[in-house]
Parts: sequence; structure tokens; C-alpha cells
Amino acid sequence: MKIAILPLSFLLAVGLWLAAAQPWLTGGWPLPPFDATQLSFDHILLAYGHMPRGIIALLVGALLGLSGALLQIVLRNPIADPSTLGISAGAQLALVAVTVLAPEWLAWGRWPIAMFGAMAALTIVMGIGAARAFHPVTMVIAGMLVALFASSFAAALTLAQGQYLFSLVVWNGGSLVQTGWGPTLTLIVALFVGGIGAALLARPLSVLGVASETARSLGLNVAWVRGLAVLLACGLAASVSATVGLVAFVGLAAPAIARALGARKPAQVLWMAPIAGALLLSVCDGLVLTIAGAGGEMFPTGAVTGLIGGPLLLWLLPRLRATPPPAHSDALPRRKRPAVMLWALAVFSIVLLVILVMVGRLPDGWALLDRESLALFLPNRLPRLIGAASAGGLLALSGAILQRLTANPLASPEVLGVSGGAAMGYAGLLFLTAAPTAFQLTLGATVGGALALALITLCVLGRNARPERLLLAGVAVSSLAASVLSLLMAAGTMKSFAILAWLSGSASALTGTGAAALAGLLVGLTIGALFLGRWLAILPLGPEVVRALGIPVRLATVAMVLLAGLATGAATILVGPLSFVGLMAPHLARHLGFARATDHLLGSMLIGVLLMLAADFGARMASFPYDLPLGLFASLLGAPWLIWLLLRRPA
Amino acid sequence: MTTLYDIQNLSFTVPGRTLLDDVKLSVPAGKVTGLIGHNGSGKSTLLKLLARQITPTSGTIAFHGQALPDWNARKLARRLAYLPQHLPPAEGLLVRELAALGRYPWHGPLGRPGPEDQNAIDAAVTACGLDGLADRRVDTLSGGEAQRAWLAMLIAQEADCLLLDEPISALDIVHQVEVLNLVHKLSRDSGRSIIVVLHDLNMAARFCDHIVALRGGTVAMQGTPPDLMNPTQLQSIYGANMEVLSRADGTPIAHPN
Repeated sequence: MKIAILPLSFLLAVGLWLAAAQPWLTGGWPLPPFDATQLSFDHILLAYGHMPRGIIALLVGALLGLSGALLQIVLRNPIADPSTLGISAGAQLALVAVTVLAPEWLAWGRWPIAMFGAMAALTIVMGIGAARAFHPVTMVIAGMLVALFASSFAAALTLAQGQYLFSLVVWNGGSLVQTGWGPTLTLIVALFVGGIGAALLARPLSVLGVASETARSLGLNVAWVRGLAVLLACGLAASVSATVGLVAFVGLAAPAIARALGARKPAQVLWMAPIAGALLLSVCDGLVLTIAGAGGEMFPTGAVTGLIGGPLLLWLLPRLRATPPPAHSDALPRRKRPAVMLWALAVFSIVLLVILVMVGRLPDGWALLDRESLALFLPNRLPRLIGAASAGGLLALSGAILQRLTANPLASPEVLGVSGGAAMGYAGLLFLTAAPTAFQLTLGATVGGALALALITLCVLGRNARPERLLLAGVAVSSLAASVLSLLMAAGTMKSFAILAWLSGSASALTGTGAAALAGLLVGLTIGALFLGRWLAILPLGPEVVRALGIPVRLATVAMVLLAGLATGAATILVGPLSFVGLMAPHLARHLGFARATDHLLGSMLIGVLLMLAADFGARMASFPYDLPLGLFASLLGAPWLIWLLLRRPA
Repeated sequence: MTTLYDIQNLSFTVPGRTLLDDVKLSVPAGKVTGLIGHNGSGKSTLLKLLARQITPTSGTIAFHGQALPDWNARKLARRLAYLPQHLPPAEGLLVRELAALGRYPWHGPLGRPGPEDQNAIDAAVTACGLDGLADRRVDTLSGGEAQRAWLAMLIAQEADCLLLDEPISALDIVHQVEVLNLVHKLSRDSGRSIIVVLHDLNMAARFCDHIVALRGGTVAMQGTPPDLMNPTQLQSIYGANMEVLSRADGTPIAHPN
């Protein structure tokens, strides 16, 4: 029954594609072999534009589906996709950097530059992973770091040199417009190679799916299989990135759809995911063609996949049997006396806050503010520092709660969908009203975030709600929001700039009231989370134990989600969706040895505060007197720290 | 004899399969009840139903005379402790901290743990022979040690009824006897009721006061260990030819032919 979706969506995709071809069909279809000198103009458009576009949509979808399926199997994580390992972000950064710094290199085409960026990102991730036999959790954390770092760097470059880069935003969105058969042929070769590789890896991967110990005893070289599968998946994704740009969400959704349609074994997922991906992208492209017409350059198909895929994933969610992610590779350190370290972090945060308030940069050097200038600067500087620090603390708290609740190292405030909802609310108001005030924008973001949170809470309240489903539901909402945002960005108006600036995060517009509210919320929610610390200690042990100890499972989960959602929403609305703090701080805290639930929460919160204090200072000072995005500096500081912690532990 | 559980017309089905079919059973309080049967006979399902982990498709279960769905969650957890068959990874927890989680039903999310909680945790750790391991991390223990650490959590819970799903599956023979001795002692000294799923017939016969045997989702037999230990009975439960021998002290042991 369910499987009937596949042929039906195939018919829909073909129908939409044929309908879009109507305007040029007055002279019938051109027949191969094509000879441009002999063809009419309509035939040229069909032969070199419309026909390769239809095929490339299928190819790109299939490649991303295959890539995502490989990664989800080998990383054992239902929310892994080609962007998880930072390859897309690496390609994007390379392209942005070349466009800004050495535009003449673009003469050789975007393909080699994007490929170089993707491979550089992959080399770093594999280098870190190799030290741990490519263990899924290590790989996922390393990939996430590289991705965050690269994308915030790229966003900073875009903001600094924005006038040149809206063509890149269109590229980022994954436009499928074709002007020949070259890219199609490249991707056919890629799919052929990928298909053979996946077929060869299918059996080792299903052995690996059982458990790495069993796999080892069955004579499998676990590190080799993981390494090869990741390389293959990334190669496929990089070839897509380099040809058509970033096509979001298909890589994540296609394997999920395949599993929801009944694929259970790795081999089944590996052949069904490409089909699901190809159809998903083709239907999306068909709709783009229908709605935007042939001149749909401004509506990159890759960006709107979330519009269709997001709701589809939400609908399929109840049918999805998710696999629990693997446990950490080796025992993480555990601090004997966490309280000492917590006090040290707290004192350090306060000292840093005082120093940062006092230190200023003058045109000719650094200076400690004297009493007069301090009185002058304080009303401006203090709210900003306190606001940034509180937002960092709130997001870190939210991330720690979510990572413990779902036992998934990829969980971050962003995957809750609240940031996405808030961003949609913000952007919606910006575009729908002529000149919105700051208060209206805040209200719009609040409503958007609250709606997203309500949707996610409904998913948790449903029957048999499991944390994995919570994550996928959040991802679905986030990608829906990301699609809408990409569309708005591709429009390339001044309003797009406003959104991009908001997305990158800034505390500069924060008022004293806003900062005080954030700080108050941070204190309140931290106390709330500490009160629920016992639940958070027991919840990772699974629903059986939770129930046996007399904790109402559903109530506890909803309470945690609401707490995390409130923290994320408040921070996002006032400072912007800075999800990397929420991802990184809990990992940093865990690697610093905060093992118990309450220590972990407090440690993450303090690290979030510290990261954002330092990031705000960096953002303010680096290109004085201009402000840079907070996101860039927080990941500049946090990523090397976490990479060092990852590599420091003895293997 | 007071009744711990009164089970009427209990059925549990999953799509395409009936796991328990119209079970009628009365489990005595204050005794060690052994739940035996072949693989897939419904032992674990029955135990999960008794622990209120899953809700029956039809039928009723009364615990201490009150219908199971009517119990308040924490009140129930103070009377009833359950050890699942597959123990989840306890990442980062110390043995003592795991045992301390068993105190949750007594102080709830906000209550302050008092000296009686500390005493219960200490006693549970000692009872499971984990004194030397109390400050070790559960995820660095051997399988048997981890199983005893989880048992310590259950004992710290101080419930008067313990439901144990194969609590000795990862233990060596010495620790099997030790844990079952502990279980027996808990029942004898403090009058606790214990329902334990066991695979080893001879262990069941030696340590249990009462035996319930399941076969294909129905109750095949219930009675005392001597009722169980005869070749005809065993043949009907397991469908295998067994021989029952007598040890020097007269206790029977069963062995497959």
C-alpha cells in the first residue's frame, strides 16, 4: 500500500516535467543526436535545457539518497546526512573565499574549487576520525565542527563582501538549471561508480550494523569498511555539490522515507533511498518549474526540497523505526571533584565579564577605560555582553538537555526546529510588512518559535513517541524553515541582508531590558533544569527503567522539550540562532569530565557563557570599529578546543 | 496465603501474533516465584505486564488487591521494582550513583535524600557484594558486575515486590548461586515477594518456593518445585525428553536425555 507512493510520485514528477515543457513543444520533441546548428530555438531549449534538467534532478536525488543512506548506516545515526560531515560547508567556503579573494580563479569553473573545499573538509574529518577507528560518534562530532566552522566563516565573508555574492546564494540553494549535457554525464559516471561501490559495501555494512565487536569477530576490518563507506558517500555528495550546489535535506530525508516505506536491512535501504531521493527531488523540481516557470533561476530547487520533504517526513514519522545511535567509543573522562571546576568556570566568567567591560580598543591601541569613559560606555556595553553571555548559556543548557534526553551527540537546539520557526516568523514579518519595528520583529520571531515548539511537542505527545522521532520531527521543521529562508535570500534584496545578519547572530542591538530578561531567564531555567536533574539522570537509561522508577515518561519528556525550547527560543529571538554553542558546549563539558547530569548541565551552561563572552569581544574588536557575526568567533574559539579534547584522550 | 497478583483472562497480542492467551493466575505474596518456559513462551511479556511496562490487550491484573492501572506511578514504584532483561548502557554513572537512582520513588524529583536513603544505598551495595566497586563506573564493569550493580539499584528501591527478568544470565556459576541466595534471603528475611524469570531449571527448583511454567502463551503448570521436577511434566512444558535424578540430599535435578 505505502509502496504505491513511489510509482505515484514518479508519475507526478513526469507529469509536471511534461507540463513544464509545453511552451516549447509547438515543433514536437527534438530527437537525438542533437545538433545545435540544425535545431530551432525551442528545440535547443528542450534539448540542452529542459531534458538534461529532468534527468539531472533524478541523478542528483539518487546520488544524495545513496550518500545519505551510506552515512546513516555507517554512522548509525538517523539524522546524519552529507552535510553532517562538513563536506557541503567545505565546498561552500572554498567557493565563497575564491569569489572574494581570487575571483580570477573562477575562470576554471566552480567544479574544481568546490571539490577542493569538500576534500579539504573531509581530510580534516577523516584525520580526526582515524585516531578512533572512524568511530561514529567521533566522526559526527568532528564533521559537525568542520561544518560549523566553515559555514560561519563563509557567512562572515558573505556579509563583509555581500555585493558580489548573491549569485553564490543561488548556487548554495542548488539550482538545477542546465545549459548542456556535461554535468549530467559527470553525474551519471558518479552514480555508476557509487552504485558499484555501494553494492560492494552492502554486505560488510550489514555485518557492521549488528555491532562493531561482532563485526570484528566475523572477520571484518571495521575501520576500513567505515573509512571506505564515508569516503564513497562524501565523494558522491561532493560531486553533487560541485555540479549543482547545495541541495539540502534530500540526503537526510531519502533514507528516512526508504525506512518508513519498509526498508529494514542496509542493502534494502541502500537501493530504496536513491529511488526515494530521485523521486523527491524530481517532484520538487517539477513544482518549481510549474510555479516559477522556465525562468525559475531565482528559485533554486535544492532550497525548496524542505517545503515538500519536511511535511512528508512529518507524515511518515509514525511509521519510522529508528535505530538508536551508538554509545561513545571509549569511556569519557570523569572529574573526581566537579564542583571545584564549576566554581572555577563561574569565577572565570565573572572576571572575564569585568575585564571585557573595562578594556576597549582605541584607533591607536588598547586601553583600560577610565572612570569617565566607563560611565559613558557602560549602558551600551554591559547589556550587550550580558545578553550574549546569557544567550550562550541558554543555548548550551538547551543543547545539554537535548543531548542527554535523546542520547544523540548530534542533537542541538537547532534540531528542535524552534530556531527555524523563529527565523521564519522574523523573515515573514520583515517581508510582509513595510517597515516593521524591532518590537514587531521580536514578536514575529516569538510567535514563529512558539508555533514550531507546539508542533514538536505534539509529536512527542503522540503514541510511542521516542527521542529519535523528536529529532527527526525537529529536523523536518528546521528544513522547512531553511527552505523558506533560502527562497527569501535568493531574492537578493536589502531585506535578505537583514535576515542574513540576524541569522549570523548579533548582540549589538540588545537593550538593557532585553539583556536583563535573558539573564533572568538563564537563572530561572538553570534552576528549573537542576530541579529536573534527577529525571535527566534517569531518562537516558531508556523508557523501561524510567517507568519502573515511577517517573511519568511522557510528562518528563515534554517538560524537558519545553524547557529546552523555551531556552532556545528566548536566546534565538534576542541574539539570533547560534546553534553551534548549543552543540559544542555540551560536548566540551562532557570531555572536560562533567559526567553527572546536574554537573553536565551547569558545566555546559558556564562554557556557553564563556564562549559567547569571548566571541562577543572578538566580534567587536577584530575589525574595529565594525562588528562581525558572533557565530564566527564562537566557533573559532570552540572548535579548536573541542578538536584538541577529542584528540588528547589516549586511544 | 495472601495474594500478590490476581490475574484474570490476561491476553497480549501484537499484530499477527498472540504472545499471551487468556492467562488466569494467582501469584502468592512473600515467596520467590520462578517463571519458566521455553524461548518465546511469553515469560518476559508476562513480567512486563506485571511491571506495568506494557498494557494488556484484554484482561485485568490486580496488585495487592488494587487494579494495576489505578496505582499512582511513584507509589507503585515504592512497592514494585522491575529489572529489564536487556540492561541499558549506563554511560558515565558510578555503581553507587546507579544504586542511588533506585531511591527516586521515595524522594521524587525535588525531595532531599536523607540518611535513610544513604543507608538503603549502602545496604544494597553491600548486599550485592559491590563494596569494592562502589566508585567504579558501570560502563567499565564486566557483564556480571554490571548485572549486580543494576540489582543493587533494585534493592535500594526497597520495594516489597521485585520482578527480575533473567537476573543471572551474565553471571558465572558462583555469582549465580550468590545472587539467587541473595534473592532467597531477601524474601525469607524481609518477607519480600519476588518473581524471577529463569532459564536454568535446576536453579529454579532449588531457589524458588513456587513455580509458574508457561508454554506458548498459556500457563502450562503451577505448583511447587517437586511438582515440576518429573519427566512427564517437563516433557509437557518443554517438549523435550528429560531425566530427573536425585542428589545425595534427596533434591531432584533435571537433565536432558
